[in-house]
Amino acid sequence: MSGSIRRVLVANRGEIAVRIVHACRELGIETVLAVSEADRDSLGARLADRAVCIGPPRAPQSYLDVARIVTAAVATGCDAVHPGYGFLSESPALARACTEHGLTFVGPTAAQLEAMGDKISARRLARAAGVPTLPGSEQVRTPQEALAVAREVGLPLIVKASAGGGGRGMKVVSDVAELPSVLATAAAEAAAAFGDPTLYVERFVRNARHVEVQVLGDRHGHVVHLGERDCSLQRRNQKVVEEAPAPGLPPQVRDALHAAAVRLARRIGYESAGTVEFVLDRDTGEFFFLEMNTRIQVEHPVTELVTGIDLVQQQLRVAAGEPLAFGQCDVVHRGHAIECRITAEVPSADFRPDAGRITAWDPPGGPNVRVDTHCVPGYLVPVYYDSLLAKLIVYAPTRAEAIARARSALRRFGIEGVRTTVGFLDFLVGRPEFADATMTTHTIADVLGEFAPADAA
Amino acid sequence: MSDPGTARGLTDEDVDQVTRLVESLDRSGFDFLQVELGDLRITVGTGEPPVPGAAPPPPAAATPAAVPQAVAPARNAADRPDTAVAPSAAPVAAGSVAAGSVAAGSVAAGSVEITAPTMGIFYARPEPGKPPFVAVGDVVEETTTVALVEVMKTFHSVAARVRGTVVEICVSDTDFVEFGAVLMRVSTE
Repeated sequence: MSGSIRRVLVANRGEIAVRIVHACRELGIETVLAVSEADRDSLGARLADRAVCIGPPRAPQSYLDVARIVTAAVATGCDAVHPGYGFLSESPALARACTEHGLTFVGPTAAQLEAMGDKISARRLARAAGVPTLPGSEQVRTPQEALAVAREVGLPLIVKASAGGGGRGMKVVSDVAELPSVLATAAAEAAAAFGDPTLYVERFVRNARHVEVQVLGDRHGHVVHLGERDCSLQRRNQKVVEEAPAPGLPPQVRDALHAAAVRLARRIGYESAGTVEFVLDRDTGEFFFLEMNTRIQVEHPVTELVTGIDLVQQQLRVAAGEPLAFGQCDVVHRGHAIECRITAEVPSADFRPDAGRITAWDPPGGPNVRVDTHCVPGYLVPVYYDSLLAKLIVYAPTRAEAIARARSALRRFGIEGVRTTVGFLDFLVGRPEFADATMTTHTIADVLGEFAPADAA
Repeated sequence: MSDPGTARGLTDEDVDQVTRLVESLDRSGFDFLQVELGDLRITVGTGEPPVPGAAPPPPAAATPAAVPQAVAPARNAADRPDTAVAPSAAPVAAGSVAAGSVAAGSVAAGSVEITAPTMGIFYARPEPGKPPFVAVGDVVEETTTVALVEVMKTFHSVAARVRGTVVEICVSDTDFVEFGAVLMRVSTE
């Protein structure tokens, strides 16, 4: 790898911190992991060349503090910062501060983060790139404006926060009479959650699949796609199971999705790994742009398994200024991969998070079974962060074999000390809706009542 | 990810406080902890819950005698930023950080540690060329400024927060210090 990145500050925690440390090590790059006090003895801290305690457990004083991240990077002689996902991964302020201090931000430019971070701006860019967007509005300021949009595009509608994204800050409206009050609460919630009350309105697709396209760009004007993923199995707009490729897509729809994603990425000269998310209407077969995520995503491993391309290493290479070493026709898709997100949550108690000490941790092995995790026996799951414990990713030549492998691996996953979603995931990937690939974004809500958790007695 | 605080009458801040208590309880040797604030009573723990009812359990009850005191140390631990103190000076190698969560018994031998309130660059003097804030042998009050820690041009002054005599300064001027690193030791005798 070119010599311009020698030491990376990893500004994240959990499984993705471990993932980035491994990617760096394979490229001969040293790592410094920024840890909060709660993560001092984490697996990532042990695997990194160094760990630096940047603050107390709460993220605003540690993982969300741009000044501390940059100070830690400079003080430990790093020349780059990898932000992972979540936290500051899509923060233009961090990207800018890195540049000001001579550090390479492993991600797109601050301007690209800004353009896609504002969802109204992203919608506008998608339209300009000829990517279909849902019928809807620009910024909605008054109930009258929203009512006018409702008359134009019909009901139901979805009200979204422009500063939201990732499934947060959204409300569905199925009755015009509700619109004024929903707008008022949504604006207040958006102001509280994101510091920006700006809202927009789109048509709501009832029977939707979530399909997204992985793109990769470099600083030399090259953009390729690495195929699509289906992430329709969601609970409260959070992804639970993801797979690549998306099953059952007509070839022309698949090609159109890929082309649309690449057009959008090219239009903004996108560099690094990114994901263009689409909603696919099961009833009409149409697809529409949702948003672009300008970072590595949780579900990136399914794409890695079907393409053989290490996305985190590609991010590092692009950040170091290397041109992509392959073109579109070199990207070969083979087989099927499924990822299950294992979280410390209690399915029988409305998925409330469960913190505590992991007394037994026995992940499954075997061919084509990958477990991305930061957990070890004795690990104390802290209460301060999200509840993701591990990602179980399986690969097989066909989708049916991948499902069988996922279920077998889930049943061999031994975790004691905290309650997890392993049993629920086994139930989910065993559902007929998943087997015949007819799932939608409301499948989990529909079938939840049929799940009989082992811990519910 | 999801919102843990759905109980009515609890603010997010309350929920945060409770989760911190749970975490410090887990790190402590106690089995459970009970907090009463007006008509709100919260009991968290791993074993048998304490006997329901407002009065403390009679001595004969199975409940451990340590219960009433459990609140204070647990809360104390939650508020202390220095429960896991890293050896200071250079940033610490990963291996030694792993051993970090030592008990907060910094009062051994009458000496109290002053720790870094934030990660950053340690300054022993107010300006280059000026004398240091304190030297070994100096007497400090709770409010005495003993150092500055800088994070990207923002300077945080470090107060002694203890009365006594400086017996050791553990880091050098302009060293990079981690959050919670021991900067000085003060003898309170």
